[in-house]
Amino acid sequence: MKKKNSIMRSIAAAPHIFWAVLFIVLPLIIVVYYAFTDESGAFALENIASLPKYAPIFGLSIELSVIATAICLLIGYPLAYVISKAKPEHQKILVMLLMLPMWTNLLIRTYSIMAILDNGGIVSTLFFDKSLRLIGTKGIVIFGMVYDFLPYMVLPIYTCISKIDKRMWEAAADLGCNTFMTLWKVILPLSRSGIISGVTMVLVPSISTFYISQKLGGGTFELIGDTIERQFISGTLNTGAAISFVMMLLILLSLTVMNKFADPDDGGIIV
Amino acid sequence: MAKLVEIKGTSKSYDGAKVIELKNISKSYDGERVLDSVSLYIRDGEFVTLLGPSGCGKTTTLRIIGGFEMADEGELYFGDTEISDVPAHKRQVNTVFQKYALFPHLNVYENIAFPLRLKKVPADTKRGTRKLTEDEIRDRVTEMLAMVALSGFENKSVSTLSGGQQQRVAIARALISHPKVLLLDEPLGALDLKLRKDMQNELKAIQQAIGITFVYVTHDQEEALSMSDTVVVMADGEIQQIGTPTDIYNEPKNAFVADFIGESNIIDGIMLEDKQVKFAGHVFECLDGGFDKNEPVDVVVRPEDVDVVPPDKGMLRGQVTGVTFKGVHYEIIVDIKGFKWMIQSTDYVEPDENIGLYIEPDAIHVMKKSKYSGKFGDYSSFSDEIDQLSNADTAEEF
Repeated sequence: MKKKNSIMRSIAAAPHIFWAVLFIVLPLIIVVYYAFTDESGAFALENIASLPKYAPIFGLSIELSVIATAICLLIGYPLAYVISKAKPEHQKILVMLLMLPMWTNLLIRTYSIMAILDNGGIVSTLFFDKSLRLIGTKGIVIFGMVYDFLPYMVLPIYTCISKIDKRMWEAAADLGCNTFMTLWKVILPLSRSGIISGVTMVLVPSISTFYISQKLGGGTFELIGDTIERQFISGTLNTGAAISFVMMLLILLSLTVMNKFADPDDGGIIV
Repeated sequence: MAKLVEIKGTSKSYDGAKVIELKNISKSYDGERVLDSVSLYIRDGEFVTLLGPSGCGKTTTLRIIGGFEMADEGELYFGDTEISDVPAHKRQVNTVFQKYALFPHLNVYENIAFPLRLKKVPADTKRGTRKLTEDEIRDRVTEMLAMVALSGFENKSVSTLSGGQQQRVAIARALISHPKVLLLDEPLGALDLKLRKDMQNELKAIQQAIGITFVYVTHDQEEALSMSDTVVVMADGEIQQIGTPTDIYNEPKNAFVADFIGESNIIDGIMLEDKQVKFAGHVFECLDGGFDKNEPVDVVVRPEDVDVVPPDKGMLRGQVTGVTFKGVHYEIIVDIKGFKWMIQSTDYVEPDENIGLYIEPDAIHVMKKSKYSGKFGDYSSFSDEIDQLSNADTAEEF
């Protein structure tokens, strides 16, 4: 971060700082407060101490979200590459098509997946004689995550690839690279910051999602997001806050590790 | 001016085989023709410069040779092989790009080693090919770094280098796989004047040391004249003239070339008969011939070839309208019957003074009329068009 010296800049930044304190810093403090107190408000470590029993749920959340992120990257990178190589007028349409599902509420999208793939839903009835049972499997939860979060992978990578100087492609071809080698030796390394942004933007919401696992999981398993939600609904705020707090720490840790791989010149850094 | 002696003195003759040949190459963008039936051949070991103002098609020509653009019509030959449809990565031609296009994710060493890591060489033991070993790569990169005076810069990030250093890395990277032809697209455009002069000499020295063909694109006529064996002057997607720098300067083919290369007075004239041309109301002896009787022509007189004499001894008489001190000489604008001449002289004359001009027969160059006639060569507005053209730093975005 550059140092902001001038008064004008401070004044210009004031509304944002106010906003950030009110809606980001303050809530975080509240979370931390609840995490380290008991129901009477006294300082307590029991909430944190009770967390190890949620370790399997943490593990499952991480497993599913990492798989979903990997699939998003595998689908999303080629997609972003293809879009960035299309004619400028086609690029706009393709990006628009990609964004279109995002105009629909996430919950509604998840419900529509249910309607289509539900046990006894459209696909099951039409093609599998109602024998297809997808709801409640890990596969469908991962599918839901990939479907919901894929645009967050594609957009930063697309932006990053399209910003690469076109002379890089020409220089690579000039020096003997065919299309694949150009992609592998030049474009992929140069789009690293886009990949890191994309991975972050998919991994973080998938790890903490609760509605996808709730709706598509069919109640058969629970992810950490569901656990937190349940704590708050059942009134055990302190435990919920403790889980949230630890999860934030874990995400922060993994982002820090990821940023070690980011190119500091590139500006593709999230934290 | 002893033209013939100069030509023999400075130009080499190239009997080398044709290494690149363009036959009737045409190219259009969005219906606009940027290259119109360009034909050109380049011989092995030659330093050829494509020279012209922005938008003349010189960069497009280079990009077609490099394989980054495909011609709409015409054929491109590499030696005897047609390569019109061969993709860039399969051509034995390398390019030094305008803003170098170094790979920012690789250090100096890896940038230069980049082409070598892709290269397959015949394997020694069994049939087939193998990659170069790290030792072989290191030897060649080290040698190349020494040639461009960057030894010790191996591990530097390219973004920390100065423009001149980046330029050297780009040259080293383009030369390391020993191409037959090196294409250079305004490589010195981003450098300051002093560095430019140094790099001109260095590039020429490198070219002579390794003896490969250079095809060089520039809008800077001075650069073209001082570096090249052959200059190809282009305008409006067409080749105007191909020749040695001395030819181009002394025997311009039309008003465009005469104006673009150096300063010139270009006057309407009439060729009375061989070796006799009439312009500005006076009949002059000249050395040119081969025109029809009384054919209208363009006459070029270079400002430095006109002698200032007392009015009664001059072939032409006129009034000085402006004098500018240029260091080596004075630049004098003289009004002769409404046409403003530029004269360069080491003698000072007073503004408004009446002077005579004396022109030797070999200072007169007669050209056929062309579509450029009447557009250039009058200094009535103290025309800055040449400066504008040669300052056109904006790259051709083709």
